[in-house]
Amino acid sequence: MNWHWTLVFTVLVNLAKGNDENGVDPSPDTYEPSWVYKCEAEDGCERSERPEPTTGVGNSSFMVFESLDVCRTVCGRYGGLWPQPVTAVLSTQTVKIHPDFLRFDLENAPVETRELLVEMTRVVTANLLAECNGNVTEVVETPVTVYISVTSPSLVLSWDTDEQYYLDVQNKVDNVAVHVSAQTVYGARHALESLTQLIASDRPDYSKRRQCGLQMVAGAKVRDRPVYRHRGLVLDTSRNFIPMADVRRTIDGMAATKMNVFHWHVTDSQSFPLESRSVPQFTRYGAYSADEIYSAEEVRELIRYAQIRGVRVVMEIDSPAHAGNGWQWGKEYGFGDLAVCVNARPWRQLCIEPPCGQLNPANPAMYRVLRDLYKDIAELLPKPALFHMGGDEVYLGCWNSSKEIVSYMKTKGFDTDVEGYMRLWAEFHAKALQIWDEENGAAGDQRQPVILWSSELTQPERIQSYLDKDRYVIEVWEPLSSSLLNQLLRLGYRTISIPKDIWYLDHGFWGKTKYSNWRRMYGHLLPRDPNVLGGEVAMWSEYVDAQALDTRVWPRAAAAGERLWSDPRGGFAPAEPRMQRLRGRLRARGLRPDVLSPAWCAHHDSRCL
Amino acid sequence: MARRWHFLNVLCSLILVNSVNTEGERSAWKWGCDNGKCVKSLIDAHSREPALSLEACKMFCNEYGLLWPRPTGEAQLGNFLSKINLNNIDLQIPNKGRTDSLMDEAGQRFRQIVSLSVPNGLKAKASGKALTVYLVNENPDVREFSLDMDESYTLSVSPSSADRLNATIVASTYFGLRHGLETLSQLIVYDDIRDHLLVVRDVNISDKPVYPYRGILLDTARNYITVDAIKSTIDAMAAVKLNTFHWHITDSQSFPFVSEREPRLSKLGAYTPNKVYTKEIIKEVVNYGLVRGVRVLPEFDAPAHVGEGWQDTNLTVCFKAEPWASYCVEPPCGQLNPAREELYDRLEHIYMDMADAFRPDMFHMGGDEVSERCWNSSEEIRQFMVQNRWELDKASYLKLWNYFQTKAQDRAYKAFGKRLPLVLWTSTLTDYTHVENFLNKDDYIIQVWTTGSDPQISNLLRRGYRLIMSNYDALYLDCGFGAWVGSGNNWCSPYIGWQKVYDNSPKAMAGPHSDLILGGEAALWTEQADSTTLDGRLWPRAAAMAERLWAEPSSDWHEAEHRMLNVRERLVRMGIKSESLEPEWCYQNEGYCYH
Repeated sequence: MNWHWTLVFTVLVNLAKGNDENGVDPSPDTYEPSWVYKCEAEDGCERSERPEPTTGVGNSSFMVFESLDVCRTVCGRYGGLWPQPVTAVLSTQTVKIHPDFLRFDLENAPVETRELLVEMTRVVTANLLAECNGNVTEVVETPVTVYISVTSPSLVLSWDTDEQYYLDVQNKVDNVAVHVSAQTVYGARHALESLTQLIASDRPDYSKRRQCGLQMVAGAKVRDRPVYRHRGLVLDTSRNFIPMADVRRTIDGMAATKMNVFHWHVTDSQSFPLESRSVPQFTRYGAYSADEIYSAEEVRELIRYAQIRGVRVVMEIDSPAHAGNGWQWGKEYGFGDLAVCVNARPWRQLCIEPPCGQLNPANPAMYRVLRDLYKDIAELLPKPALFHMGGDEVYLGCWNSSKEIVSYMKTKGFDTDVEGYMRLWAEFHAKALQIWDEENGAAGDQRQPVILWSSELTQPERIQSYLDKDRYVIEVWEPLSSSLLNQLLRLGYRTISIPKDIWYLDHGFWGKTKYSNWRRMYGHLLPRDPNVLGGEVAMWSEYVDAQALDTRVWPRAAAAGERLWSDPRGGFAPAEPRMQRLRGRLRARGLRPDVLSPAWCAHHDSRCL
Repeated sequence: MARRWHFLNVLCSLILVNSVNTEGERSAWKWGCDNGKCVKSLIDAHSREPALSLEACKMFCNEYGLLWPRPTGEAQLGNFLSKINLNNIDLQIPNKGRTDSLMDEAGQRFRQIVSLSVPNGLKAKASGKALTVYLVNENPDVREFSLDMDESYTLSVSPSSADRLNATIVASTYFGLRHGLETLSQLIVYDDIRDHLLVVRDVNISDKPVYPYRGILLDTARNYITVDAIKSTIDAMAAVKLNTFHWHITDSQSFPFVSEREPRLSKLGAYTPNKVYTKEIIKEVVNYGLVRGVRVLPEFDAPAHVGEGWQDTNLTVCFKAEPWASYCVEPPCGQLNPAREELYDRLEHIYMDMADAFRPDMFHMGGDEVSERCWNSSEEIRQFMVQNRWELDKASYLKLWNYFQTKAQDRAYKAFGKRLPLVLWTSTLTDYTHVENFLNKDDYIIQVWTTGSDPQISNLLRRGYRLIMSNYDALYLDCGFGAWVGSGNNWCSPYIGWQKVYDNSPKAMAGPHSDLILGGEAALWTEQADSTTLDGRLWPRAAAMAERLWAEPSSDWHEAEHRMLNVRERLVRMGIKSESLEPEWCYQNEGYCYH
């Protein structure tokens, strides 16, 4: 059925073209002569100075294009690829393709990987359709076969996952052969993402024509691997709730930029939206409403969704501070205070922002509840599990305001001074880690390192007494001016870099913080040290919910994405045209990225510098 | 004025016709009003205490309930909430006239907004009292905007029988009546504990705005804004009683306005053939605004801020000149060439097309950021100066600019067929030391975009000029993002929080001359915004300005905070992607989040 339609349609298009050639007026919906884009070696894609005669539907002559997207896809050393690959040789010719004639050959992939690979290829097809707004009307029957070769049968996604890939596109006489080879399925996924980025819609920009075809770079050799293995994004879903659909869209953006860690700051003192099957009180007392809850089933689906996109989900249950609402039911159930100073006023002395709340380390029942929660999480997370215990912004004054804790300190022989409370804090982490080890072990995993935020406890003079460098990875959020990261590296700790004055996406909207534009985020260089696992950008949600999420995060997070994947030597200027292309791509895939500049600048690369 | 809370028990027995069913309860929480704040607590199945939903509590717990902007006259909100039936709301319109179709649409909008108060996926019970709304328009033939139009209204709600409530809105124009309907819609909340719509039962409000001009500027040239996005902006404006959509429709980057007399302008100047505003589209927007009490005010910015679209006219100078920083404030550069007589014919054509499409009661002529270096770079203009026996100095270029403005003014009057009020941006031309040589205060309104402490303000007022305040330090909503040319953050950083917008008082800036302040306007320049990001930039901050301009309250944002958080939620329900101001926890726990 479809085929017949296609045939009729093709004939009509040909007739229309015939009319053009006979000098009949073109459709009034088309600019004639029309603007075109020229790929210029130094400057990227420039709109022509004056309208020029068009070259016919989709047939761009050498380095002159009616579609800016196609221009960007072939112009410059890396075309429209984001992040920039290690090496890329791209043809400046394109070949027209159609998703219906795209085949994936999985013969050379181990059986164990095929189910996941099939899902990954479905994402490719969906993303290609998105380039044409869901409907690729220009049908060509050129077979495109993607031969995927994967060596390892493993589906493990961890810091040790080999993400490198090789991508080769060859345009033969009547078909296109694409070879993807990678050690792991995740490397293959990255290759498929790059392949998608070698394809763009050829819909002329100066026409109202509804036709849309896909042009693929006719020949390519891309060799690629990430510089850093941890390329993450923190999303806080506690200060304001973020619905699952918006979380999934955020992961779509990460997949488009080869970011691989979704760090889910799922709870905080404001709310507890994560359903725990063992402890239903968490959401009953802690969720903003019955609609603002993540069920265990939804979490499981999200983890799978992320895996298909090469993204690992790291769950963070922040503790012992940043815990309050969701923990305030202990007394009612005969457990005593599970948390102290919950919602206390005045808040200034007791926490960083209202509402206050810290777990009560003097109450053994708190650890029992924590164990139940950890058990649920250990059962959810794929192995090896990556778990984040938070550990930031503990207010000693909060603990010190509790008689129960002060008297517990006495029985333990801890002084009630700063160092005494550090011991209490460290004791909490030690006990929590032991519980996590036991529950995660029971769920079938080996002992895994856990992540902690930097804090007073991770100061160089303290950390070694309290936190074992083999068990803890420290996520350093101190500003760029701080030397903590380097000091921790010197002590042999593994670290993740997330300097708040550059890579916090909420900055610029409160207090004295400054907004970081993508150029600034791009400019942040991390130390090249094997113990720097990578970095993250953070979307804290005090001032953001689903309404503004996309525009805060995108496309800026992608700047960090390229920094972490490629760590390019050049500044932002050569990256800007590719960034514009990425923004368009995100938009096509249903995200709502913020605007970088007037559209005029996007039509005139390098004229707005 | 303070409302009394000891009636609360009575009220609650009233709304608790059915006792709360705790089995299968959706919400675990209820709220109670304590000392002007809504306090959250667990619903207790055994308690005889009534359970209030969050919005129902907020409706009582604040002097102005959930009204935004707050009324300026009498505002009596009784202490009883009555259940009403969404399917049993009847609108009665006794006086007929030229506004009949507008009234119908306003009624539809009212019903729609009321139905939006029910959260997605829930269904209000179809029981409760009937509501009859009497819409009494004393001048049902008035449908024209003007700076002295009457936007006042009175609103009363009271029970007429055991199962019926009456609401009566009386206004002397459609515009006032429409505001009254917005207010009434804000008195209706959804109770998610009982799945019922509730309305405040005993209400007496009399209300009118302090300033006649309450606007939002939207730039649709730096980036194109879709018509749907413009309409939803107007929808949100109507919800907070803003009344002017100032359409900065062209600039040097693009020319999306379709001029039927000068079709090449948009043909060459639009970003793509789809990204245009035709006469039909504009008429649709103008009518959409009229229904919502929002005037659509066109701006044709000149003589600077032109470029794309004029390519084949030979009437511009320094278009796309490099280095751009020498000839304009941002790329691409471009200015009209005032020496060419032909220019004024073309302008008149554009103005005529704007007259056809907008039928405006005021017109904005732009007039900002003229670069003398740009003009001076043209041999032809220099010769023209010499022919006129002008020097090539700053003062003479002001004369040239004035020459342009005077001729453009004549053409505008001719094209619009009347001496309509004209608006210009503050610039070197409007400097108080010489403005009287150039611009007649009865012809021109000056829109101030420099800071709120600029001495120009008091000096222009002293000379009798009428002002619209858009001081960038409080009302430029594009500030605070990364620079798009150069590094660092954009020129007017930092980001302006809603508190600063709210506290930006024209009255305080005007001193003794506040009668000459027509109002204010928030501006969204779109170098770094488009349809996808528009809502978040504008909302809910523009709502903060809306209350300032409607009510000019003597109090600051602290007093307004609880209502402000609610108006943001209301906008979200309307489909406006508003920024979040605080964690939802703060919305649910009043009084905890303070500095």
